Amino acid sequence: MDRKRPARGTSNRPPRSTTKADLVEKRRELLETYFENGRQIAGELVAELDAARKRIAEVEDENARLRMQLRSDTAIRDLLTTIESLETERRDLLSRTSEVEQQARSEIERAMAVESELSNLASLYVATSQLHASLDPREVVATLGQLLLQFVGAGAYVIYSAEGDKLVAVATEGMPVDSISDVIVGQGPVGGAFSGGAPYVVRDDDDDGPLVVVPLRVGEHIVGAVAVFALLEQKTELDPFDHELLRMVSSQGASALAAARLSAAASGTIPPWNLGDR
Amino acid sequence: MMRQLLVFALARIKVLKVVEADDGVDALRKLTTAKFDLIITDINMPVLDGLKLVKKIRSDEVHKDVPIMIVTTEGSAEDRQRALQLGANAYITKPIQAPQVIAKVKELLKLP
Repeated sequence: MDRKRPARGTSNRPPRSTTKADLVEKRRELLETYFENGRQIAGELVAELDAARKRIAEVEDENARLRMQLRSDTAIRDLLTTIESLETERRDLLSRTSEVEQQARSEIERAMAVESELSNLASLYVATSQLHASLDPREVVATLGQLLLQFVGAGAYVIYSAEGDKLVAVATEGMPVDSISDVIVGQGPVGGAFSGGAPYVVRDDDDDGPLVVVPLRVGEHIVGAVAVFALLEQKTELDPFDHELLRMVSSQGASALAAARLSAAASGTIPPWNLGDR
Repeated sequence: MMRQLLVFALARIKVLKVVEADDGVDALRKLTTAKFDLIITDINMPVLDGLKLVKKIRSDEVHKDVPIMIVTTEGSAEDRQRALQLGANAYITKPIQAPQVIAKVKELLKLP
């Protein structure tokens, strides 16, 4: 190996006097650099630590927020479930309310129907009891007339009593007396009403004859007849209850009149009650 | 006969006490015996008809403000107008139905 030695006087070795100072200086510099680096590192570490703490705080906040949101979501889910349940309950209640309302309407209608039926029965009771309240033929005829006028609403009518084969007019309302004549049983709309056997006959032809004829008959015995020629102004047509009344007039009117005539005959007080006789 | 039916109808209103009169004169006589809350009358009555009765009631100090309801067979507009002008408060034509009378009486007496 050929190593060249540096030439004397040009050696790299510092001079002994400066080398030591240099070394001291270097050591000082090195130490300063070392501490400076350490300070910087420590500063960076502190900064990082601060950043980390800050990040932890942020994450904790975020975490808390998320927890809160989660709780809130759960609460919302619970609320939605409750709302749905309440909605179902509301629908059920509405449905039930509707049913109850329907039921109430139905009950009201039924009550009204019962009231109406009760009223009709009362009318029938009052009319029947009044028809049988007297044994005076004139009073019975007057009651028949009131019944036709006030209960049926007949504005023009004639009541006939059977005398042999004739129907003699004994009472009238709303008709000129001179326009009324006696009727032969079996003839014309009034006299012929007995042949069909129906309790009453409603005529709808447009002639001048009666609108309704009610034969007064007890079994096979002809007692008389009622002919309605016009209804009161406010009464436009016969309703189902009027037909009930006419049936009642036919049966109860006939027996009341028959009983009164028998009673009058027994006591010898049959009135001269032909309209023409008054 | 109609009176009986009316009495039946009014009996459906439990709070009412009904006093009947045979005609207009009888009604006036009974009006002097008590203070009434409602008067129901026909038009066609013997002795004193319903319209004259209304007129007399309206001139009576005690009953001049009492509601009067007319129940009649007279169904023309003129009759109705005349009765109302004389002071009747309600006008019902026969034939009547009890529920109709009950409703009108409750209305006049302001009953539930």
